[in-house]
Amino acid sequence: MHQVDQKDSSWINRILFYYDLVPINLAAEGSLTRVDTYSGRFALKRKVLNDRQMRALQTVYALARRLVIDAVCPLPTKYGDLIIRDRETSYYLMPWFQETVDASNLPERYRHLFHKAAQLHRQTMERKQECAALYQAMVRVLSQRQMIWEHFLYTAEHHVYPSPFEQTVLQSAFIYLENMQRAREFFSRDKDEEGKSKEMRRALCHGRLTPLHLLIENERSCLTNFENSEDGFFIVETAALFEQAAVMLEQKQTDWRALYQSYQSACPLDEEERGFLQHFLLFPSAHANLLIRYSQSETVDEQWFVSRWTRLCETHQFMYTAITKMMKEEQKRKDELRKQKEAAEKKEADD
Amino acid sequence: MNPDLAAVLSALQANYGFRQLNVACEQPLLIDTERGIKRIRLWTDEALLHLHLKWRNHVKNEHFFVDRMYVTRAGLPSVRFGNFSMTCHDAPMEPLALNNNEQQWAAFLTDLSRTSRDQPVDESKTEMQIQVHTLFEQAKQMHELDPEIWGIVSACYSSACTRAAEADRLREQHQYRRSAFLLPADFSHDSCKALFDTLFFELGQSEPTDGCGVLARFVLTDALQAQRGQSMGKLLQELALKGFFDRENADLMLAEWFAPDEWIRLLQASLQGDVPVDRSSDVFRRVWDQKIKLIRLLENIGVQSGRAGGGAPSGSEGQQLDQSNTLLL
Repeated sequence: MHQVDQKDSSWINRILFYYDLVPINLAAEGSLTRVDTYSGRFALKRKVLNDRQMRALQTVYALARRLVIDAVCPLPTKYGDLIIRDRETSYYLMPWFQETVDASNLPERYRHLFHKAAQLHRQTMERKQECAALYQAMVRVLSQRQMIWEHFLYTAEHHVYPSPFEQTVLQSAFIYLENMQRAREFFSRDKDEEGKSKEMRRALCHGRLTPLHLLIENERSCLTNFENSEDGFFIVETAALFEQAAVMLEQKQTDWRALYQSYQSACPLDEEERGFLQHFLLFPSAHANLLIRYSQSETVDEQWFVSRWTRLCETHQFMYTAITKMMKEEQKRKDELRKQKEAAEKKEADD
Repeated sequence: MNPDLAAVLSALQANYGFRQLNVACEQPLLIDTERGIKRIRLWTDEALLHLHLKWRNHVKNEHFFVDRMYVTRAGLPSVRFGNFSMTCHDAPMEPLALNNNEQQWAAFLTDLSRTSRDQPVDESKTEMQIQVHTLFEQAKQMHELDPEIWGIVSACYSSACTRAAEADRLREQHQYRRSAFLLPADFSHDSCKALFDTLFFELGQSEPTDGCGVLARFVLTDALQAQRGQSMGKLLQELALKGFFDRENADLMLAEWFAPDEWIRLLQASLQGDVPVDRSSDVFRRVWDQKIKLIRLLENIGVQSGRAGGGAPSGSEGQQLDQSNTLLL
């Protein structure tokens, strides 16, 4: 954090005029400027925004104002605008959050993030819509990943002496290739048994869910940075969040069951969505990206790549097993309940 | 306290988030709040209010502030108040002097000429040439005109006709334009204030009028004041540098200066016999000369216009201008 100099404060004063605020103290904190005024403390954000991003912010602001979602959004100016445009740059003011969880405390941040993401999806949930196009897009992504794997494996197999990293990948390759094949089979079936197109629920998706786009002050946490939000099949965002967390979090510290439960309790997934999530996680992007990175690196730190790969595989396996187990348990409970219900109905009918 | 004023304050308190409200001035209505002085405007014409809302939305940009309407707690730009609508605006006090700020004014006017545009208004003017001719013929029939005035009027008749024809010709070229540069009819020095090294434009609440005409008259009025003449020259130069003078703006401003309104006014005043002879003829001389100076100045700056011959005043028309100027100086 550092004090803002005189030159910078000139444009800040101009921006704050739109809010009728007079700063007492200004301090730069990352991409934000902390503005202390007699009316309170605010965060001034300076960002290049396009028209679509501005519309997204307006949509989210309207929802937050109606208390549909809990989000830290831009405050309107005295003229009613949400964003102030100055040449190429845009500005907006938000209430200041005195964060109580450090940015480096990822487990805590992800715990909140899963819950807030689920709340966002649940509260903006819409009706089901056909998702054949999504499934087809998934097949395309999957094909690209398969190509990356095949290219890597082809190169590795043709080396007389495969490198340590290549050997490590080769050892686990068959599992991932098989997983990808399973995922392909799932996403290729975009119609149900009756031949109808599959349908899934849509909701407002944040677009850039990361622990940095979440503000936590004591017990309260709010999502922010909604510039890239849009309406979509929210399960894609959920699945991507699990995938992201598997890369960012250390395996030993992570209670994947708790994260899954936290999401599921706020936004229960239906059978189709659970299937989607389970199969989406079968072809992780981080693994494919590491293979590309290895192929493109001129000077390779074999040890780093091997340890990175091993950690990715371990965490991914750990997460996948935990989630799948949870899903099975859930399904089992549901089946038991259904059976009990059926038995009770049968007994009633007999009586 | 005026009961209406009390009602205004009460409506302000109820609809805007002000905690403190004190009347700082009643005419115009200025309210002192904890967030500074605010200007309250009352609108009897709802259509004009909507036009002004739309106008401000078009004009607003990042280079200067505009006196936009504050939104109420409900997010509306005005409050219905009996037969009126009430709006709340910022009211900076420090005027932005033209002197030494010509560059800022020119940048502002250039921006404005691109954003403050709509369908042309007030385009159905009678042709100037016909007006000059008819008035002169009418005056000839009367024998009670002051001989001094009649001397000036008849000596300048030929120049007035040439100028009227030129004004008509320049305006005619842009007769069927789809959009025109608009300025409020009461545009003046007071319309621009200084705030955080930025220009604050008070669009006010008057009707939109042809911007080139308003600006030409603004320049003329200022140039007539000896101490501001130099500043106006600088302003025109800066406007040319910033690219304000496209063909349309140059033609329409020149047309305004070519139009011999002062000749018409002098003749009309003397026909009605209600203006002291000395004063009216003196004003006429100063305006007539100043307009010619401004036309020359604009042409010397190198502004491209649709004038016959174009460029510096030369040929028959330029000589005509020189003659008329010399005659009166």
